[in-house]
Amino acid sequence: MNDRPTASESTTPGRSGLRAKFTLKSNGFKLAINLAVPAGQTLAVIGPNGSGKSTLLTALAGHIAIRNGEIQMAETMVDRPKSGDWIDPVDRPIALVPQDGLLFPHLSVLDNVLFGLRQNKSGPLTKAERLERAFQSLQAVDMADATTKVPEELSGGQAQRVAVARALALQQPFLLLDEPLSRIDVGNRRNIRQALADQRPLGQVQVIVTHGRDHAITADLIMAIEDGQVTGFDTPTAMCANLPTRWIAELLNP
Amino acid sequence: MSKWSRRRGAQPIPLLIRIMAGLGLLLLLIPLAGLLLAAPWSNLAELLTDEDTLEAVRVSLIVSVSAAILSTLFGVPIAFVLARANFPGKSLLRTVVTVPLVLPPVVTGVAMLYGFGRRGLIGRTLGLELPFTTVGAVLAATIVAMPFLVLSVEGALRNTDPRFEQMAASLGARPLARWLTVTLPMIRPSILAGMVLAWARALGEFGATITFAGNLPGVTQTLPLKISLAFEQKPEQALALSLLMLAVALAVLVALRDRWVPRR
Repeated sequence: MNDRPTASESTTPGRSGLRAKFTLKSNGFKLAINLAVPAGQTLAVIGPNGSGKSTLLTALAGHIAIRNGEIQMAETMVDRPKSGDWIDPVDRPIALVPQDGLLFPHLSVLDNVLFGLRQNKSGPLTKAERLERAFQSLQAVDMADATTKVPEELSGGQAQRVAVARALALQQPFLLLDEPLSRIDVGNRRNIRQALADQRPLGQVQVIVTHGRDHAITADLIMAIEDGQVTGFDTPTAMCANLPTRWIAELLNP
Repeated sequence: MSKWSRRRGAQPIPLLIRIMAGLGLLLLLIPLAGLLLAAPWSNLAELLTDEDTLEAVRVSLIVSVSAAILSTLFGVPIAFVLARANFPGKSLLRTVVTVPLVLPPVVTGVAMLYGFGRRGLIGRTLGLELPFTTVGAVLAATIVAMPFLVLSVEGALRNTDPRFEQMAASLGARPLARWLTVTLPMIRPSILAGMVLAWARALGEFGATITFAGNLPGVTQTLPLKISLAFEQKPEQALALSLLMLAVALAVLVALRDRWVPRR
């Protein structure tokens, strides 16, 4: 097993990137991760079902603790069992888009997007500022005309778009997305990719779990996980040239 | 085609099982039919608006509504602890909470005398006068009613996806804010159902109340106590009050029908 992610040698993460080198065990499943993403870059996480992609996001978000190693977000060590470092999910500089959206069923679309803004996660905002941000991010995913709807009235794709808007509105340095485009139609995919791209010049690190080849090769870095192990970590160009495993080859070079 | 005939493809129900089910149903229906036939329909209005009836209705409403509110105030946190926390002695806590469901209410009343009575644990140390007061009747009703609320809410909490609370945490909500803005609103229907059940149980409470709080008109004499007393002196009034309580019980069942039997 190589000790350092190969990509980190060419692109050092710098002070504001994401570094994670850890192992964890969850319900008998073992996951070993080694990654580094510089500020303003996108990491696409690919791998078969059940390989540990979602578990990786769960650990980064702090909903499970790692067993060994460390997770560092910008200058902050958010999880490091050896030294006892631990930052609660509430205080991690992240925004999360879970696979099924997980919109609060008892709140309207607008209140879902306002939820995080009301918790001071993005600093104290006036009511007008919160509303402006919420509308901006709903516009970015083309859902600004559905503010009064409740999640029950949305299609799967619409719910995913609102979940993306809810995360964008927080403007956190780290954005974790679990297959955000899986149920979204082609036209809206373009909108959402644009909305995500607009965040990167601000230095946002985006970790995107995806099954889409297009989404993977347009990222800055690709990491493949198979059966809890990293089987590839490189730029898309290098990954497409090397094709470390058969599974990666089948996804990237169909 | 008769509506009793079997749907195509449905399994037949054996005759023996149908007969036993029918007999069971009769067991339930005969007393109800008897009550409805004996009821003093002609002067029902008069009997129900008579002064000491109204007094019992007033006491019953105060006691049962207060008991439902207290059950909710204490029962929802207990349900939350039972559903989410992990600690040694948790099964003991669950037993303590559910024991009034199976314990004869008279025993609850006796136990309350030794706990909250003038010479009981609390009465002796605090000098409280709880027995034979309205507050005492409320406490008795709360103890027997709270398990219904706790079980209803605990079940709902176990069925909610914990990832909603995790999501709220990732959005920056601290534990109390998560509980107030996500957990509670998501289980609101079960809290309301639990409140109605607890209220109905408190309204019908007899044994613990008469043992601990007595049968004082205007103070602790609730409808069931009034019925039992009236039966000896004015059976007509007992029948009228019984009808009233039957109507309330049916209303509760109609209000909760979707909670008891999930609709297909």
